[in-house]
Amino acid sequence: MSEMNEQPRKRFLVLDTSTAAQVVAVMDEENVLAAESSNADRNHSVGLMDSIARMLDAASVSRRELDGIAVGVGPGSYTGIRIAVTTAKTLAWTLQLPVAGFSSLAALALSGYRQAGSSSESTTAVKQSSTRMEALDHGSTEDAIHHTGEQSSTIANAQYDETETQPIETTGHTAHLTTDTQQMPSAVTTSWIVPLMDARRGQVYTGLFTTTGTGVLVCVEADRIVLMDDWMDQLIERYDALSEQERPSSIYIVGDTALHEQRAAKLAELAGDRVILFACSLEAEDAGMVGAAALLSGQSEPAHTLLPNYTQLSEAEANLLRHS
Amino acid sequence: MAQSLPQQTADFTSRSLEDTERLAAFLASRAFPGTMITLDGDLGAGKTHFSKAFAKHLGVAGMVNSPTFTIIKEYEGRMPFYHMDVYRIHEDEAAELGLDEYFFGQGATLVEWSSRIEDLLPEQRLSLHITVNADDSRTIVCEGYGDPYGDWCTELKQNGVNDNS
Repeated sequence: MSEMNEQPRKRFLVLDTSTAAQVVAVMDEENVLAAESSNADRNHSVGLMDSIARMLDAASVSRRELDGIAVGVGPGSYTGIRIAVTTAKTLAWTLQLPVAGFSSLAALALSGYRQAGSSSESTTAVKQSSTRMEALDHGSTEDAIHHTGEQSSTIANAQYDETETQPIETTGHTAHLTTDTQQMPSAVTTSWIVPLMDARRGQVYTGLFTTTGTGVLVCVEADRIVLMDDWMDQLIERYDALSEQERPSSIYIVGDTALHEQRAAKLAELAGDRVILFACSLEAEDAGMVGAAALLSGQSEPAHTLLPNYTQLSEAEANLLRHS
Repeated sequence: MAQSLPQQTADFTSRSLEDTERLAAFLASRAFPGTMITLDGDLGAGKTHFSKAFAKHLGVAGMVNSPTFTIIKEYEGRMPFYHMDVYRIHEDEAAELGLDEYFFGQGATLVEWSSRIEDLLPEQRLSLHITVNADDSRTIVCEGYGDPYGDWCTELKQNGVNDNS
């Protein structure tokens, strides 16, 4: 991927604690050296530093060899976000390293997309095990095209530590957040990826990401907190406004799907079995990819200015919601 | 504020610290993960006394202090106990604390001075208002919004705190 790069490759530490998952990855640029996802629930503050030490050790990277730190800045659990952000800022300051924030939803979107559609064959399996919405409108031919088209780029050269990490599929259709210029941006159908984190009271933290046909996820609707009902209406409107050629071949709704299946059904009434619900958690490898991409593209900022992104409602919206 | 949920009210008269503790014990015995109780009343009305008794009967060992300066304190009883005092914060500051993670969490939450963050509170809750009477007794007005808080109030009205639970 970066054969032309003759400079020493960079090592990154990537953290995310915005969800119940405690996520730590050590990256060699876009390659995963070591990654660990554990369900910490509300105990990220207890285990995060240990996990960082373990992953650096597993990757045989000392903290002095790091070239940057990336951290998921949310949205998600307020307490959770602050733990990783504070840890990242403190480490960046003390080690004098650049620190970059990235969207935790982007990482969740990548986790869901990678797992839900990891190959044509396993996609079939996934679709059977996940909630495939009933079709009013079949898109199966396009589905096949779409999955063939998107198997092009892989993270097959990712290395995983075998003792400390959960091995992940390294084959199949893979998305990453770096540009791949070798792929022709032909009229490949795209997918929508809608990551969901439950935000209680019928709300979700979410955004909209699309594939570009080159395996790259692009954010088209920024991270937000929104009533799931309203969000589905907005997506329906967007979908409705597109011509058949412009419409996504698949709509992956991923993450905390369990509480929102009923509400997602509204979209499935329109888009049929293109809508795929896939429950998943945010995985360290995906946070690693997104975080490394942020650092590689130079998005770092001074440790003192990096802030969480809680995606709070504006005061007016909040009032409206409370009194509705 | 607009309350759409059914509401039950029970007035409880406390003539002693022990009386107040009996009400706290009654409520603590019914607490479940996600229990939401608000506690309002003037300084010196007995909010902290009630809170300590509630914590004790929820199985919290050791000292429970007023969290006026820490805002939120977490304890472990038979379930987590989240004790909040929001006297010192404004609603917009409170909105940045992510309080929903407590309110809809795995423990019982007790919020002192809740009127300061009324718009952030869950609709379903038990509201307690303590007033000091001329004879130094206390009237604790219990208002239950939604289930099971309404039932608790009905039970209080019918049987008082003398149940066998």
